[in-house]
Amino acid sequence: MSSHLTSKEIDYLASGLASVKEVKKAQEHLDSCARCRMIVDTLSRVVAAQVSDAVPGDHVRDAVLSEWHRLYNESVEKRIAIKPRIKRFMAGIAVAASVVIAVSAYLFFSIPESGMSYPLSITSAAGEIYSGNSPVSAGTPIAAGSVIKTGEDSAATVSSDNYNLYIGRSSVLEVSGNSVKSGIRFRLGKGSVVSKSSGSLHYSFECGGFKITPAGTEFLLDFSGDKLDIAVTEGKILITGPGVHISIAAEYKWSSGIPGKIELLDGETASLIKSVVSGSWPDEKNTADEVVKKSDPGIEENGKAEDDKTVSKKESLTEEKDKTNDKKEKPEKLKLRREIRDEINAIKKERRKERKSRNKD
Amino acid sequence: MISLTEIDKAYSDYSKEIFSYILRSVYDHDAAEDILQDVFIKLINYSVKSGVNSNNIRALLYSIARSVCIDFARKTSRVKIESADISLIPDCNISKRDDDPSDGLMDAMNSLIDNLGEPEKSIILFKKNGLKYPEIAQIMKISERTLKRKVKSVIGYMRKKLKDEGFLVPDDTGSDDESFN
Repeated sequence: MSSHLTSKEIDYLASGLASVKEVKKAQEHLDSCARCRMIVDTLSRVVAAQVSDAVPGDHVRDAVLSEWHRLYNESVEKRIAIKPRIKRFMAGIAVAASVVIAVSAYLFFSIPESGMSYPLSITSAAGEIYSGNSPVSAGTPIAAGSVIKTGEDSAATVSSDNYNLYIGRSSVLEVSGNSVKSGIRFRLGKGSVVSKSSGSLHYSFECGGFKITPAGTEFLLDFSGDKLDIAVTEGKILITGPGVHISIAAEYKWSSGIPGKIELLDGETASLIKSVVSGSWPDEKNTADEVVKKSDPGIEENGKAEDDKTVSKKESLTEEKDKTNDKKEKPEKLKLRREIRDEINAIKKERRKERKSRNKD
Repeated sequence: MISLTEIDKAYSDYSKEIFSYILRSVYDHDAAEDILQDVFIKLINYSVKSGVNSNNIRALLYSIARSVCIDFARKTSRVKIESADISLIPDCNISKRDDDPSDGLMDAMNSLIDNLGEPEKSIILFKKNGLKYPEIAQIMKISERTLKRKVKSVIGYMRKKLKDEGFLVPDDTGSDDESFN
């Protein structure tokens, strides 16, 4: 190598980035060239390791170690503090879980026992009512197996939570079963009942070999002379029996005399049901009750003959029914209502005028 | 958390070189001691949160020291330090080799190093503290290739400056084209 080392060669050598081969090649020149050797040595000191005499004081070491002790104690305290918190949390969860289990177990075992039967009570709507052979007073609780009898001039209401069963005149009703699981089972021996439910109470009827399971709310059962008549005003009921499996919707009626036929509900029966549900069994309604039996007017309870008055009323009612149809009645009723409304409005207007004139005076 | 034995050993092994680096960064002995204390406390706190590998403590200490020094420089940047002459610092006497060309040359070199910006200054100081290129690359979080390029550029800068100031003989014969690279 004749000339001096280049700047790049010097930089590589000084920074220690040159390879062994390059260093060996350059060393030949450096051995003979004092100038280049001086430059490389000077620049090498820039990145050469140099031992410093500067030493930190001992207080720094003490401070560092004391800080370590402080932080260590803090972390230990934190660990100690966290443990009881976790324990308390776990204990709380355990208590909550046990409470939930206990409550659910109580509900699971106690509710079916306490709610074995629905509370049933009877009140008299008219006359005397008998449970078995003894007369009952208002609010008397009715147990399963009780047989409720009403006389010719008496009516009763059996009620429970959101449920009312109106028993008509000369009726025999047995509460054959009462349990929360299977519901209340009524057996209508004879007479008529109107059932009205507005809750989730489960109940069913047995009458004349038929089973009536309601899926609705309001209907009438009439059982006289081995003939069952059912009229539904609200909801739906299911009738099952020998060769019969039929559901009756609202505004329809059914008779066991013609089990395959469902007829439209007539206005009288509907109004009878409504009047029974809203109040009691008045005498007039009682006669209207007999409208249901129109399909077989000759049937009499226990062979007793009806008096001439009831027969004449029956005839007149049946005649009226023949004359007026439901569809025809509706517009007439509407007309009547409008007329009455107009009259009332006219009267009100007159009164207002009178008041105004009085106020002016 | 780092054990007492580990922190004690780390202090014994690395406190001197870390202190040297800090001192050359801040030029204040008391401040350097405070920073060194902070560095080790930060190491303990870091070990509480993340855990520390004993093989990595040196690089971690340098990394913390660098960031603390930069923070300190920012805080004290309003009060500008006029002199960068490290030889004036009493406890920072670098042991000199017998074949030192002159005190003037060393002072000029140190002055040039102190006037370097970041990260070049830190790189040179780390090299002076005896760290290898892989260790410095790890601390600086850059690749070794980048690190070496930076070192070469610093050497080139120093060479030019020293030539300009007349400490080195002008390179009148050498040419860049003849480089072995």
